[in-house]
Amino acid sequence: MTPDDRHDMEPLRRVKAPAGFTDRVLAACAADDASRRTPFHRRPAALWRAAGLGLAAVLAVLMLTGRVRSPGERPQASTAPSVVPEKDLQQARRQLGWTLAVTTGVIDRSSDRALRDIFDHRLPDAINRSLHQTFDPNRKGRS
Amino acid sequence: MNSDLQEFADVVRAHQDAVYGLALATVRDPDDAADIAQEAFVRLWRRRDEVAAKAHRPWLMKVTRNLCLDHLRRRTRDLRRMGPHDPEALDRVPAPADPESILPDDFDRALGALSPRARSLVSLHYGQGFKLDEIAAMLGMTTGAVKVALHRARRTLRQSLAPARTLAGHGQENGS
Repeated sequence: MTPDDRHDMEPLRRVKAPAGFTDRVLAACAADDASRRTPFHRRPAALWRAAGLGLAAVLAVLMLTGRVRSPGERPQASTAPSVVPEKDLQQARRQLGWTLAVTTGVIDRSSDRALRDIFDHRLPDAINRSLHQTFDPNRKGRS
Repeated sequence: MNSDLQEFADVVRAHQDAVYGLALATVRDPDDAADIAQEAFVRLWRRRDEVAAKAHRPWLMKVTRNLCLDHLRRRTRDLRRMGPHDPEALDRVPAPADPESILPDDFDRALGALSPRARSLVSLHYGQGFKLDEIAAMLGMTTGAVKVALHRARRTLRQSLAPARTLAGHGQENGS
């Protein structure tokens, strides 16, 4: 390389990062950290699996308790007692308990409080209330 | 600020001029260069446990160069949408003539005569002081290929800078 070339390339060696660049980078790193702390960034597959299991559990319970009717099925007479035997109901409850335990385990690992609250408390409570209403002997039949 | 981030601040300070310099020489736009340099550091931050301290600079250089080429490729794609298809457009991306560029105008114009890949090689070698074999290892090229590319780039730069040099010479003669 000639002295002229060396002189020509000098501007490349003089380039400096803009003022405040370090702070800008550190702020971006902190923001990146914060965004990656959300469950969907950390364990997206586990969360989708948990949501799927939860939904499947709810649908299974609703199907077993007769709250979701297949197309074409006529509604039962309003005064008819529930046709779901106690044995099936117990099994559904066991399956639901198992599903929720698995779901809770997955969510525990992802340490997300909001989702844990939903799957630990709100969802089981809602399903329990729904089951109680369905099999409440004092409750009037569905229309 | 947590201790990790405080330690990382030293890393940023140590390499920011080199990373920004490479980005600026390659994309020739100060704003884009700053964004790209920032993105390179954020990526290093994410992988701070995997990249050894002594490998920081080569790692940053490689990532920055790739980010620059991706950026220019995206811009070329946008330009292609507006005009007829040109497969060699990447190597002739019209670099924006930015008055805020911190490179001198004549040098910036001369850099514009090079392809983005050649600009990054010139910056790595002449700007950041990497040796030919270091660049070759960093970019997965042979040392010979780097040498040839740099030789061509230097010749093109010399031709582009010749009128400016002549004018400067005249200016000096007139001034003396």
